[in-house]
Amino acid sequence: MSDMKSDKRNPRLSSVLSKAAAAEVTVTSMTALSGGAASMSYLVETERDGGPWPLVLQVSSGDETGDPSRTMSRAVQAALQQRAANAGMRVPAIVAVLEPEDGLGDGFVMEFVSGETLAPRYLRKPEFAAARERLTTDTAQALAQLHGIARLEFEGLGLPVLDGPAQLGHLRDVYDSLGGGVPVFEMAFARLKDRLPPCKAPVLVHGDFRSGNFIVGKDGLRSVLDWELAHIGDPLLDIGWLSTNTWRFGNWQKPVGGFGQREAFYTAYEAAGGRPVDLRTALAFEMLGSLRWGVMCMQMAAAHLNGTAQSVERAAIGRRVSETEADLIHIMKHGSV
Amino acid sequence: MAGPVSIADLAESVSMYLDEIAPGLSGRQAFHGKVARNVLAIIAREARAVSLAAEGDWYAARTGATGEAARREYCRLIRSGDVDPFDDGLVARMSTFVAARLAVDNPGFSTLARLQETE
Repeated sequence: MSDMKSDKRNPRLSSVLSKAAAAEVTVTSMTALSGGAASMSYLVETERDGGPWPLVLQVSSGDETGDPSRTMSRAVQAALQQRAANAGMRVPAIVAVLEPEDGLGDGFVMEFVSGETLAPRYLRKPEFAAARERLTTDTAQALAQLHGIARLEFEGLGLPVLDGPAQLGHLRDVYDSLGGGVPVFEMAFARLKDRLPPCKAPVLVHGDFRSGNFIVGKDGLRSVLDWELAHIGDPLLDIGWLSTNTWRFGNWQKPVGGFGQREAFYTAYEAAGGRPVDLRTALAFEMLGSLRWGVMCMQMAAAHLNGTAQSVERAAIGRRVSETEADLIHIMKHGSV
Repeated sequence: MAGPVSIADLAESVSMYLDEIAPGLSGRQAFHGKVARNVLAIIAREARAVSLAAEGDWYAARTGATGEAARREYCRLIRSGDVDPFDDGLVARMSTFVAARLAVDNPGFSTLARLQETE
């Protein structure tokens, strides 16, 4: 589907890139990498002064109805990625932000970073053994760098402010708007009410920091992608989300991302400048993570059921709600999963 | 003939057909083909499951409503505090219900075995 469109877009994108790089850039091909309801990614092969310069184009698909929480403009995403890079975090460098007059949609172009994005591969394959050793420290450092960015740096970007209690309230609204009706989620909402403290000094939070949004090389974490859910909030949201059982991809014995232990991660995070982590609160944020993923599954299934974005994948994801219910029950029985 | 063809048999026959055409698919179609096979497996397991009705009956007995309405009414009771969300007996009950559904939705999910170990 991308080939016909890309023929028209290639010359326009070539001129955007030539201007941005102050060099002769020619787009030679565009291949769709992945697409959600709200955004599409393309691998853009280019030649820059005669040599290959692989890039990634991320554009809005024009259909923002699939997931109402993902409505951040691509320009803000690009700005965030730039600030994270300035803070030393490994993110793909932004090459160009598309302007309306470019006629290419709402989007931006970043450098292509090679590596593996499929967690089941880098969490299991023997050739990633050394990378797995590094991932605990790498992700801890990345979060410490992100959470250390000064408030002045991101204050003007219009990001939502959502600490733990506000996240829970937001989740409750989304769940209610989907019709609710999950008794285990009701129990989780009630139990979390007094366990998420207000955040006195909120920081820049990635919001979706987990496997699936990482590029991992043999040498460890190479890049953090997908900044659409970034907001101002509690740093423990990122840590709890990374440790949510869903993102361990079956490696439940390694609670942090399926590759690390909590204590080692907290130590590395604090050593890299992160605030001291309170285990009990971090576990509450893990519980929030399971509830959050469960509601996201309901949301994606709803997009199929109400016709806004129909696919067998979205229908099937509705049946992943029971996974999160099981995780929540395990947490209620044993304190963690 | 071994007997009438059940819903589960039908789902599995479509799954076999998807296996047949899978080598000719790529990209999004191949991925959705795999998801479709998983969906058919869920349909087959749900059609053969015997324990799923217990959960609905349980909500019905406690609310006087039936079906979907009973589950929603039970949710309302938890939310209002009429049912104690911290009650260990309720957690144990929900654990049984969730395990039965998860055995249909994704029997390989690690938490299923972990929940059953502690029952």
